[in-house]
Amino acid sequence: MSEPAPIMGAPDRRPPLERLIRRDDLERTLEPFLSGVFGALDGAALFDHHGVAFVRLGDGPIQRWDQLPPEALAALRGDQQFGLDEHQFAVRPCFAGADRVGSFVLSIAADSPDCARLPAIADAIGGAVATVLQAGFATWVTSEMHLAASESNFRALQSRNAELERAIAHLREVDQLKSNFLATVSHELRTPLTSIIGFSEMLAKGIAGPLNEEQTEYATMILERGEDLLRLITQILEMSKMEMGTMRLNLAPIDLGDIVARAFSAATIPAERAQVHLLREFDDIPQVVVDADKIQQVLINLISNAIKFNRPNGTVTVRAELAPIRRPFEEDFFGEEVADALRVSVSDTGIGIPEDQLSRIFDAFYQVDATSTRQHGGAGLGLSIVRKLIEAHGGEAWAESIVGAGTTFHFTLPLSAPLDDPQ
Amino acid sequence: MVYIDIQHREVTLKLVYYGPALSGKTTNLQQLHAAMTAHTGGELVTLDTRDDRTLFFDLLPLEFETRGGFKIRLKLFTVPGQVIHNATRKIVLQGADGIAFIADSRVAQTRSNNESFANLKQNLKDNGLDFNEIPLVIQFNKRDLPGIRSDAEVKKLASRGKEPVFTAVAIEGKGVPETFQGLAGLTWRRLDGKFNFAERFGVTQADFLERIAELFSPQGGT
Repeated sequence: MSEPAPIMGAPDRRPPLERLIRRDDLERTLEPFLSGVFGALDGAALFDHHGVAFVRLGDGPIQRWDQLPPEALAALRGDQQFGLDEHQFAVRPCFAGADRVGSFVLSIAADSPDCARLPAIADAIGGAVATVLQAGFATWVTSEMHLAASESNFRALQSRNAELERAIAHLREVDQLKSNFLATVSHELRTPLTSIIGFSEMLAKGIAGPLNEEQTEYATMILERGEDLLRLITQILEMSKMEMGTMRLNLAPIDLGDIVARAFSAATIPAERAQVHLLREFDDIPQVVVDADKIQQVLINLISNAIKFNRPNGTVTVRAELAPIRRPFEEDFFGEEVADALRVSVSDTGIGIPEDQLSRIFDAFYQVDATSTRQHGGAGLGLSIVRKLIEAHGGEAWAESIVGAGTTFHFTLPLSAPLDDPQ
Repeated sequence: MVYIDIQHREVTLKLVYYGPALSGKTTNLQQLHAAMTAHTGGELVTLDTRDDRTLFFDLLPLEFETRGGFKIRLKLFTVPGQVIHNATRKIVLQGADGIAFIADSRVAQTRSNNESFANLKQNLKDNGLDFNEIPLVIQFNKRDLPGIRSDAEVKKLASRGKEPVFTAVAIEGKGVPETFQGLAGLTWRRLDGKFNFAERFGVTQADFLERIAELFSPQGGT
């Protein structure tokens, strides 16, 4: 062979003998055959297809075949009988599947009376060895098959992973672009809107000259709608700031009662308009370490939602109590968690939210009632901002609801500096 | 699933160490491996990652023979505890015969323990295994740290379930053999009830436990 065979899969599919049978197992199998019951055999050996000895037994001349004599080498390639060193040798080919993997050799003294039976004995023992090798071959093929299968699975997985990584990188980029876009657009929208609000306010107040009743009404409407729009854009801007991770928290210890009072005063007018009562049900609670403006915004968002989706003469109740910082969990085998945080709840007596929507209401731009004719306005950003702000403080925000009876929003706030979470 | 090779008189059991991230599952296996150096059928297969967290699983293979020449192989696996590796956890849990749940005794870790326990229940269900049927022992690890649940509290928690509960300081090897022996014994008892090893192969529960105990002897064994 001058040229190496082209490599396809494994270059040589012929299994080496040690993959088919263990040396000591084969020795143990062959030993009894040399004990005399099969005639005066004095040597048995298995050579691989290169002529290298795999197993050698007995003290016949095979033992000395470290450098195989040319006659033996020639005989090993075939299956013949030959004489050498006053001995008769019989060779039987050994196969694994259809490939010849080696040769089995028996030796007997040439002057032994059993010499004539050597071919028959060689057939018998050689046959046994062949069966053992074929059994080993079956196992080998199975394991090779498993190996090949897992290799190909591995390769498929690798390429799949690479694809997924590319996809993730792409999505990240797109997400970043989206946030940048939102920030820029909101900013650009806000600038002209400031003029609209400013000048319509001047008009409505009569600073640029007296207006008649109808003109005042129109100017006021422009002002109110402009302010609505500004709120919306501010929310979007805030959202994109949070998504870009450029939000800063000014943490300081403060009484929650103060924040609630401020949120209530901001919500008084819409509450009166909707005939909803604002209630506060907590007293003595420890101070929290929060960014007061952000938490006030959280409360305003939740309270105005609670007013918006309430029934006439309904109530909005704010409660606070000591609780674990994480939301309650269904499993408590390992005991209760420590109450090391403050849990604030805002409950309404409104229409409630169906169970299957509860987990989605915190998604940005999600609306429970997504029809074009829905009753309540808004961009669907309020709760999303709430969750992001609370998570920035290290707390959790969630909701529970009974349809027809009302919804309660909970969030948790750290009492002291947030503990390091090893998770 | 237990693998019984009748021809070779062999039985293979799969035991899984489950629990939240950083609760000491791998440490348990490492300590077992160290305590049994004379008897392990193989090395501890562990894929240490940069920050010493288990990414895939650890495997400690053990094997020994009982009096009747019956061979028992134990394959001890750990799962990766981090929440994101749930897919791996589910695969490792497949066909488990027994589970040791390694919990972190620190009160602050209550939530992680509870979440991991719920995750175990869910993954068992997804693998078609019955939580109420599978042999399960619980280990409260890290008893040497401050801020842990007291022994009385552990006892109280233990009394709520039927699972045997052990306390441990895995990093010092304390409680590790007890947990393992408890798990092996419980698993054997459950499987014996199902497959009747005593009658079919002449391997009794006492014999099995004796061999398990021998694994920890400094030399000798099978």
